Amino acid sequence: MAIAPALTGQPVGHRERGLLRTLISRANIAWVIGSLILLSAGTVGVIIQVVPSLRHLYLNQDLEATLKPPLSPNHLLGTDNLGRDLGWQLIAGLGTSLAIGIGVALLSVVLGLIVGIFGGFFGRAADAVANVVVDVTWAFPAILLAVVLAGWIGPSLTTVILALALTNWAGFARIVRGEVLSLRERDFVNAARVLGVPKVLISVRHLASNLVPVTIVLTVYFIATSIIGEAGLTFLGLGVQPPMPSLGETLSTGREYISESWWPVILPGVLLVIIVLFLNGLGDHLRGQLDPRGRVQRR
Amino acid sequence: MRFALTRLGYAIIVIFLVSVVTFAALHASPGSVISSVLNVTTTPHSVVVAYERSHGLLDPLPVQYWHFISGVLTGNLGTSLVSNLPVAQIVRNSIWYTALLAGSAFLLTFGLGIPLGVLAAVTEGSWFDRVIRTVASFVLAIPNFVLAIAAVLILAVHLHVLPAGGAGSFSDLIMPAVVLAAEPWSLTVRVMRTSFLEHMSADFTRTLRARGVPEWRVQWLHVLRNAAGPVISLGILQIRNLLAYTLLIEVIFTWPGLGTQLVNSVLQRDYNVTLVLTLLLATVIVLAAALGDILLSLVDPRVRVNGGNP
Amino acid sequence: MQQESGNISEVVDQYAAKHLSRRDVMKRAGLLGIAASAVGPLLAACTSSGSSGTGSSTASGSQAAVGKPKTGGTFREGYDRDFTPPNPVANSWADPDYNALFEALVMRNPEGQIVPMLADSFTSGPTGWTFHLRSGLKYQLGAPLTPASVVEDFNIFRNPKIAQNPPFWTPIYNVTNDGQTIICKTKGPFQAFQETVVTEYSYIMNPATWKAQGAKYGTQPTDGTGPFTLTSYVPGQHVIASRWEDYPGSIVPFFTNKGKAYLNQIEWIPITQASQRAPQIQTGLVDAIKNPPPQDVATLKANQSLVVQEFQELSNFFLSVNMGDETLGFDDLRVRQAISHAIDRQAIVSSIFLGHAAATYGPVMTRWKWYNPAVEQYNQYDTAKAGQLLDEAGWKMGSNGVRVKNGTPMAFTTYNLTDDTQNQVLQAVSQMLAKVGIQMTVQSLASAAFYPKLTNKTTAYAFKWLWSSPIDVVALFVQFYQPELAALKPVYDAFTAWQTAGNTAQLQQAAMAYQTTFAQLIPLIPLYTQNTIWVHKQNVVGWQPNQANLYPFYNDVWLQNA
Repeated sequence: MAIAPALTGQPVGHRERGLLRTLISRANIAWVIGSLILLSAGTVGVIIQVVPSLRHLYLNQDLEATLKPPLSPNHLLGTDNLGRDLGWQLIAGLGTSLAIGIGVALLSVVLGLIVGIFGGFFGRAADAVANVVVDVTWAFPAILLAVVLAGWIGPSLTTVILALALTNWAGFARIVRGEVLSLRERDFVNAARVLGVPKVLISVRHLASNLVPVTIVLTVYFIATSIIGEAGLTFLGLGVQPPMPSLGETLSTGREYISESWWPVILPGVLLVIIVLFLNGLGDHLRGQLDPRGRVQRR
Repeated sequence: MRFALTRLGYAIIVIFLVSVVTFAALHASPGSVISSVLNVTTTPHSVVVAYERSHGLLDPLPVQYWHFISGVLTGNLGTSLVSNLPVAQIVRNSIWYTALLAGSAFLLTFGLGIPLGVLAAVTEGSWFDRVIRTVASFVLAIPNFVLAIAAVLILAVHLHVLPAGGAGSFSDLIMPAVVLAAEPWSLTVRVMRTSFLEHMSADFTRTLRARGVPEWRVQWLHVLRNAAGPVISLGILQIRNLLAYTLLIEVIFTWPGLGTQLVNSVLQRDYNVTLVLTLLLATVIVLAAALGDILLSLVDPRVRVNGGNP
Repeated sequence: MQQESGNISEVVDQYAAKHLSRRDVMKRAGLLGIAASAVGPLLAACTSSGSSGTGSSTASGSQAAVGKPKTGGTFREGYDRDFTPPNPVANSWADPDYNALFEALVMRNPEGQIVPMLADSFTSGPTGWTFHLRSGLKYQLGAPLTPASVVEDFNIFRNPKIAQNPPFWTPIYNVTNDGQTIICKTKGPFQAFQETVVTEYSYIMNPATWKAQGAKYGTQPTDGTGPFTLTSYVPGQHVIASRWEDYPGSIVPFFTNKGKAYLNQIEWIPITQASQRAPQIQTGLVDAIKNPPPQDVATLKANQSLVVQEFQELSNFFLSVNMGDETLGFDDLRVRQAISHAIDRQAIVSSIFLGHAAATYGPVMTRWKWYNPAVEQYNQYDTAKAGQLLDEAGWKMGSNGVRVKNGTPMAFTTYNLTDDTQNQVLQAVSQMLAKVGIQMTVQSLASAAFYPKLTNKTTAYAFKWLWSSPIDVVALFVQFYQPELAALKPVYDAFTAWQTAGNTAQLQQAAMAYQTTFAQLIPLIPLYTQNTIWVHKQNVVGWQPNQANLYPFYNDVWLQNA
């Protein structure tokens, strides 16, 4: 994750114009609608996996009707290699991907905040420790972690979330640390310390709340990268296990049949691209709204 | 100078810690290299134990780690537990391929990214600028393995223009390198453009122009040098991503480099090979970051003060 | 090229090509010992769809007559797995390079009969076996191939402390030599040894070299007696063997080339990603491949520069449930039968394998020389019967669709080795079982993680064995969970009958009886046997995979453009 080299450090004041009001203003209506659509689709995807009587929608195999093309009767988007409806597979997969994305983003953000604030605010020794932890994590190949975790607790949803989060958080921690380094010189922080407010409280109240814009923006980016990461892990056989559907799984199985049927590959691929494009755009837009001084650049 | 030394010293500590963590993680996870070598359903237990003893797998973990690290420091990288080949040979066989692939991607990224970014900045607002920016955004959004699959589908399966995999000839390199370079290229273009634009209207350029320096020199020499900073730090960060993605791309295109080798050795629990390869990758990443910090410190003195974390 | 092959697949092909009438097919099938009931479905499948999973279908350009063999060239053969060090003593998988690097005392010809190789004659009887070793032979590194060294090899192979195949050698209590004759003594007849002594793990190697190289054996010249020597072993990339110039020649009847090999070198290349196999041979990166995925077969057959041969693989994919697990009722025959009846093997064969496989209702592959079609009356797809059996065994359908007995739901996890096709099959099976109220989840693991999970407490696992002596290997898996189970006594007895059979006729009978006993008691639930699809370029001559052995031999192979 790169920070624009100039930390402008201009005082911004303790609290921005009402966050919620900023977000739900006129300029953002399109993004709000888009986000709602994405969230609803994802929720539907999760619901049909969780409610037993709905599972047949995406689980129902029909070995007589494998690899039917889109616009076949009963199957708007066709079927996959086991005869399951591709449309419902994609929705359910979307649910899985979003769940993973949000899970990873939340975990990364929490870890990153803790370590970043710890390093930036709690003295030089703490900073040294934080830096070492961050750098060691940074240099560790994610796939190694994924395989080790998969071996330990078996490949599963939890494994994917852990593997992605544990390699993702370091970048966020770096940014947080940088921000905290500049924030801690501000008047309101110094005032609180002079008044004897314990550091932990300062962290939570003042530092964290000023980090909210950065956090929101990066969370959105993280969701996008985790969705891609999960698909990549599944591609290598380290992702969620069938029958839990996942976009990466549909993609990677579809690849075997690429010479005859393009839809098991192209459709999930297109869906992935759309989601990522949307999330990146949303992140860019939010950055424009919440962080106009460009303290944060994606990646 | 002192900064450079401290930075390098710190890098070495990090690499060492990575090796410890990798070692611990590998041995802590269930599964054993034995299953990759012997037919465990039929091999008698005594054979298994004899095999373990002869490969030092029965020693206590700290002893095994000591053997590994002292070996690495003296140049003995050990032997693969699965194939009995010297690890050095395995690394030699595959490192050339990975270097070729990563190097080509790197060349494409900066060789195309920097000039295009500068051109986009210089022609800001024109159709050229807009096309470049749109293409960059679009390419950035496509996950590279999706791009890889789409490329294989169109170019290899339907059009038969390029091969789908393997590493026999130069044409095998084209698709993996382009797919790998796609994302860093688009980022480089964007950052280069932004940075160049920022510096193009800086005060010093007016001074230079007032002194009669030709416009193209102003732009391509002075502005570029100043604008290069963020691109360099981005480039350093990209090295880590590049290496991570190289693993995935190698597996997809069956490119016989370090990535395929690492994936296989981890799945087989071939401890020796995995440790050496992970150490190698970590060293490259960490040293690259250290080098980047040192370079930046030469350009921007603030970095030396702040401790070098970009 | 071998002409006469009493192979039902050729017969069916000729029927498909309208050279034979249906009655002729039945007659020839009868002569081959194949029941009419087995032939019917073959013919029906033949006429209804293009690919029927029957045997050698050189549908794309049979090889034209090509002239005299040329010496020279490197034959690049693609393999569907990664290689392991070629080591007959202790190794996890026998690879195709064994046939180039080593030879056995005797070998199977494509019809499955035992013929001389390093031994020019052999006998078998109630007191054991004798093999008369050819004189004047040498190992590849120069040492003479003495009878004493062969005796030492055999003693290594049957030593339970060193080797991995001793269970197949147990009736032999002593191995010595008398001059050029190797004598293996047994207390009773042991005709079954003929199926063991020809397998890769009985190939002859120089024991002194094996001892000297220790753990490195298989990565350096292996000092066998085959027509090629190992010159390079780089797993993940290639294995290379070069012609052995001092090869003394061969007496194997079905080799046309009795002298040195034609090829300069063989280079085997592992192509582990299935989707890469067809592209690699089509773009000329390799000269031959094994097992392209079923959906690529049609394109390969349509390619006039390639020859496609299809045989049934010497394997079987089965599901094994722990018969010691009483909570899940696996000790109850009705439960196992219910699981078996709930699986629609034919649907799996036609949709996942596109017909390039065969459903198995018994323990062995359907085209084995001694296959007993009587097994097909058991384990047929019948969901009604499955439900009925489960009800009888006390497993009532619960409200959420999962059967329950005494408060325990019928839910368990099956482990398998990661493999794209197997994963799909198990997903399909999982769905089929769900329809009768059995909840089976599947966990796919890489080999290093899979094998440690296989203990005698594991609830269930799925596995595919690949071996040319099926009765031996099936017996191994039957005894995997518990060595002795009262309920399986008939199966153990049937295996003993196999091991003590006195001559080939008795051996065949024992094999057929074993299959029916097995199909009735299903200690393992067999699912399918896939076809092996071998593809080679037209310019490769003499590369002849066959139904009886795992891999082709290399003595006759030459390249037209050498």
